[in-house]
Amino acid sequence: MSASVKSTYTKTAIWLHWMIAALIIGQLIGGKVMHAMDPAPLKFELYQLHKSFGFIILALSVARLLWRLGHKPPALPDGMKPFEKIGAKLSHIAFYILMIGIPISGWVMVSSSPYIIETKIFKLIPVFDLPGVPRTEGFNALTKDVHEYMAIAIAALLVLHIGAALKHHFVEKDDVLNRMAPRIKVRR
Amino acid sequence: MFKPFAFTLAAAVLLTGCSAQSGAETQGGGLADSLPSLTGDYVWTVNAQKSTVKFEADYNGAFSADFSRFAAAIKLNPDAPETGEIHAVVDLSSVRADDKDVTNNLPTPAWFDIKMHPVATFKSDQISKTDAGRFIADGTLTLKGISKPAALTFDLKTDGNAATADGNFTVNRMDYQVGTGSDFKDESWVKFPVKVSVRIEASR
Ligand code: HEM
Ligand code: HEM
Repeated sequence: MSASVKSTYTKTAIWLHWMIAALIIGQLIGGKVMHAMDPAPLKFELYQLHKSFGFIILALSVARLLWRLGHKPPALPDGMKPFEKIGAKLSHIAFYILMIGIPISGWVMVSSSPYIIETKIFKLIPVFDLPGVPRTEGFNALTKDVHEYMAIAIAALLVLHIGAALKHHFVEKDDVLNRMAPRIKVRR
Repeated sequence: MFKPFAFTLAAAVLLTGCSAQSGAETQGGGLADSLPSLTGDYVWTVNAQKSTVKFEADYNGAFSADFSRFAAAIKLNPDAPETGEIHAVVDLSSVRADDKDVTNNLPTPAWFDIKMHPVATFKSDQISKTDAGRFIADGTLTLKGISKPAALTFDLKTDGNAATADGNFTVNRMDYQVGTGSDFKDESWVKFPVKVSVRIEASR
């Protein structure tokens, strides 16, 4: 290992990062696909799956936030300019807001639907509808927009995030990607 | 904090009281009050326990649902059907489907809207014989405040003072505005035809 690898994220942080990343990317693609489908029993099943995975993401993200509040991540490389460091921090905060906010907006959406469709995570664990949410087509349509725009926002942030990770790795040649992805060989 | 709780408690007590009352309606007591009291030789008393009122429709595949509370006033002489009368009332809140989502949605405004229209009724205008043991009751079905002609065809078997009738008719749910809203105003999720079947056991 090169001397610049001062520390890495813990195993827990790394596992949560990639687990949540994979689930969110699947959810973004799955959400678009199911939304575009014509009504059919398969479409209905995909919606139930989307809700199930969404709640798994919510649980993992809350766990990750709690973990994060108790742990300091490894310091950003000294070579980064102050505005880059602020940008990195802000983008990570935005990720946390969206990781938790998107599934909650989905939960508000199904709770405000004029149609009462039971949510059962993987057909096993029933989830209650949030109380006090107006069940009207108007409010429901608004929550759909909020959910969709938040999904677009996290997708945009992801592009930025991946771009930054690749820049760190291939241009700056620092350890930022490696401490989150320890199995990738350091390229020098 | 205390007030909403007290309110919930009061509501719960009230609801329990009401459901104890509606339990008595299984016999048709409260519902039957809205029916005319018929007189004559051929007035039949419906055995609610042995009779069924149900419907079949298609939402993501076929499903069926039945109503546990209904009542009917029937006068019918198989040899003179034109003198007969059928009046029926169904408590829409008693619906149970074999799909939980369907059961939960039927009472809502987009479907039966049971707060505004708690019951559906059928009233015959003319009963005639179409075949041996087969009859047709042309009448009016009222559902969700909308009245439209409906023709109930049924097979009737009589055995002394006991009778069994098996009948059905098919309605287009949109004729009665059942299933509104962007997702249900067409047939993409829920088909339009709904087959209503009744089986009546009665005696006189
Ligand atoms: C991080 C988790 C989630 C992500 C990334 C996500 C992403 C998406 C995306 C991209 C769409 C398509 C939007 C469109 O094209 O209109 C969508 C639709 C939808 N999502 Fe999610 N979602 C998540 C969690 C949830 C949760 C937890 C629920 C419900 C409990 C939910 C319920 C829905 C529903 C019902 C739709 C369909 C809206 C429609 O067809 O109009 N989502 N989601
Ligand atoms: C939707 C998917 C993703 C989300 C929500 C996400 C979120 C995050 C967050 C919140 C952090 C900050 C860690 C913390 O302080 O807790 C982080 C770090 C990191 N992510 Fe992602 N990420 C995603 C996908 C990816 C992908 C696809 C890559 C690969 C290129 C990647 C590479 C990294 C790297 C290298 C770090 C470490 C940054 C550092 O050490 O400061 N992420 N990610």
